[in-house]
Amino acid sequence: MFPHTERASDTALVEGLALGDQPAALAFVRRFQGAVFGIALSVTRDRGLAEDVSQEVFLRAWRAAGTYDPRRASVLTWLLTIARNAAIDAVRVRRNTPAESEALERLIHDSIRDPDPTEPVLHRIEAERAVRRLRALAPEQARAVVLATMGGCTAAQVSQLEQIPLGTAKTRIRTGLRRLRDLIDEEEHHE
Amino acid sequence: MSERHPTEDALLDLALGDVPEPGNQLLTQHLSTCPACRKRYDAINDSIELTLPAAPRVQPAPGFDQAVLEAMGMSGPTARRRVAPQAAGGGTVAEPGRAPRRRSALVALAAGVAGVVIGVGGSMVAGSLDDGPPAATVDVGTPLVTDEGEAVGTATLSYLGDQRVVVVAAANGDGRTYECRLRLPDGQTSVLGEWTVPDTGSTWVMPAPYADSMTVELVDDSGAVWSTARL
Ligand SMILES: [Zn+2]
Repeated sequence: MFPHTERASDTALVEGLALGDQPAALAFVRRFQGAVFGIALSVTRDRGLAEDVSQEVFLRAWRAAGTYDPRRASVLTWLLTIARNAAIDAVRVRRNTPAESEALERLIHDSIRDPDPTEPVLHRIEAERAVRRLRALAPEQARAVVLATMGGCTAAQVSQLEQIPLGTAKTRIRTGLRRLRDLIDEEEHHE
Repeated sequence: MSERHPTEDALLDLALGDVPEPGNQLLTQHLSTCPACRKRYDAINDSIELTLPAAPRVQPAPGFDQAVLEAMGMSGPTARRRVAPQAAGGGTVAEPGRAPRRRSALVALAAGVAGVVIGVGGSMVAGSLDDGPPAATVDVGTPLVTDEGEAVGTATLSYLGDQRVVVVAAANGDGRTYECRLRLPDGQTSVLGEWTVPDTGSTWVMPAPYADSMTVELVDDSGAVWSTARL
């Protein structure tokens, strides 16, 4: 194994992956597997399915690595987006993922607490920003957004979980997302 | 069909993966031809994507990494280099370059512009494991070179979310203090910050201006330029 993969930038690992370089691919998987499996699990709430989804995510990323554009998204966000889509595809096919309130309550709790300090620093900064924005929302909006994004819930499931009318669920999600967009724009202006 | 613009509710359902066929395809088709709706949809979708990094990390079962490599056909000693079936090339393979000298873990230091000063790696040397061609550098860093031609680190332009940043990794600074300065093509300079570089080296990430080219200069406390990298 060559020595520099540990410190290689995320983008460098994607480039290595695109070139089919085995050590880069291994380093890439190890660096991102916790994030990918985390989102796959939060959407599917099924470890076996989440592992299948996660493997599929890395294969999709491998195929798409040559077209990754660092100007559009960080590697972490790019990969998490692939993961969320793949996990949602998997649960929508099944159509029977129960909206277990216990697992989802834990997800809401875990999503707005401080990120794991052992995360790679750049990832932690991205996570901290996302957490900070979620915390800036009204609590009921933050809950709805977490459920709809990381929880992979539909608006109908959010309505059911929160015991609110469908229209209210949609409004909370939409208003929350719009507020997040404003906060993202503000961050960009400050930099 | 496509002259009727979808409602906000429909766009939200689409972004939440909750539009069954054939509606999904119709909506997607509309978005590909209607920039106004595309913009509305992207606004929703961007907010979702940039929220995902808050998701909790969970490690998969041990052996997951090997299983993935096996699925890529990269697990055996004979399959060390394998390009994905549909990979569209990409990536820069440069000539063998000088690897930055870096002796131990990079250290994050405090201070900095916009509070973004963090420790990260800046370059990767990809030794070719095939028998044929010589070692290639997957080039992600321009060497920071002193007057004497010694490479003492790297500088790289990168992105942190939408923010363009310059990543400067200095190897062995012998505990001295340097000012990091950017020189733009028009001769203007801007100081990004000042740090002490420990013996173990350190890395900084700083917001970078948009310019076709720029030179990173590390200036020592006597005002002399210690090393430069042209980006
Ligand atoms: Zn339209």
